[in-house]
Amino acid sequence: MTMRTTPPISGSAVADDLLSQVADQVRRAAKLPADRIMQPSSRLVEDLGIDSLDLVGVMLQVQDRFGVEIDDDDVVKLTTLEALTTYVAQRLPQV
Amino acid sequence: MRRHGLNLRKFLLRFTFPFLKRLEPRQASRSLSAIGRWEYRHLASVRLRFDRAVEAGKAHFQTDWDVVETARELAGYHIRFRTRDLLLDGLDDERARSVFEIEGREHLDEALAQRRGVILLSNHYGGNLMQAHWMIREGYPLRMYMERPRRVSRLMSNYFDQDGPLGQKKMFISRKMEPAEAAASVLKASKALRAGMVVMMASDVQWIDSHTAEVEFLGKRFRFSTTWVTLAAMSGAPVVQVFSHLEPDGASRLEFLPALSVPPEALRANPTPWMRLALVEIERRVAASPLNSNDYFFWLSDPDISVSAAALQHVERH
Repeated sequence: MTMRTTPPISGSAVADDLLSQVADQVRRAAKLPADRIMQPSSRLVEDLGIDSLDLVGVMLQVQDRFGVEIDDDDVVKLTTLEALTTYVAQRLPQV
Repeated sequence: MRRHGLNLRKFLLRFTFPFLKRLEPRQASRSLSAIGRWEYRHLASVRLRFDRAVEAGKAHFQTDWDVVETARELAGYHIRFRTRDLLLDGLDDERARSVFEIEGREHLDEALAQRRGVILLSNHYGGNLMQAHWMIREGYPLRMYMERPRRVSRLMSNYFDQDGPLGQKKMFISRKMEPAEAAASVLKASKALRAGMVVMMASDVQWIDSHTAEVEFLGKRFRFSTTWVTLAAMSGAPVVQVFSHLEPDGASRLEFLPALSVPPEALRANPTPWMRLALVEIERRVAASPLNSNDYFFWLSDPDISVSAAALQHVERH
């Protein structure tokens, strides 16, 4: 599957920016190739090919990067990039 | 063991357990072995399997073991292994503690004092759940990262049912887990370590997914889970290897080894050297005490049983 990074879901600039940041974090944590397209609807396991232990790395790095706590029980629900971004957005510390 | 043999064993255990429980715990454990030896003596299929297994172990280690005597005694020890901690069920702490002899407890306590959690590296040698029973009785903050064992004491069973964010109930793993579920379970284990808990996991689990490595063990190559290496590298938690020796006098001797530290670089490196490090310690003990080898020699003589049906189903599904 040859993919390239595309702009994130339409919405506010802030949401788009967050999606980009989360995608970047996922790419780094899972060591995905630079040319792999990441859509908001991309499924972490099935589409991006992230396995269980890499998924742990993704969750830990997203936690550290954004200062949010990801509940272990919620991991199974965070199936797509968009779901993960929404989860992070809802828990971002208020400034 | 064939179905007929299993039913007979169940019958024997059900009949004798109430009597065994009245004995002094070490004596009960010794008497339990007699059932295994009886099976060996009277069931040709059992005798054949144990003889073949011991022959395979003898050939690997190139020792002068008496096959028949070793196989008969192994059958006796095997039933102690199979009945896990059930003989301690319902005993008060004092009587239960009388079964245990502890070596190297300071290694476990020093590792815990580092406050990074401890990975307690277990295996399938000897009475491999006895250390968990002892640790629960002693009040250690233990979590077991493994498939939920069946047929255990009420003490252990109640412990398994502990709920909550870091409760044992959610820490068990399964061969049927999807990647996201597996990731959630590793996260839980890593959080338990960060909370300063002892996470017990085995170094010799035959597993089939991408996080495994083929490693030599007892002269053959097996595919084992590498999760303990990953978790140790990821968390920085010290790793303490433990052995639970079933002794001839009925005691369970727990041996804790000095802690080892897996550096973060190991996360992306070949895990095989770390895995061999742990497996070599098991091989040494099996060579010195074949009666504590449980199923290991069957892995050599009867490879069909070395990978569980569940694991094979997993392969078929993927």
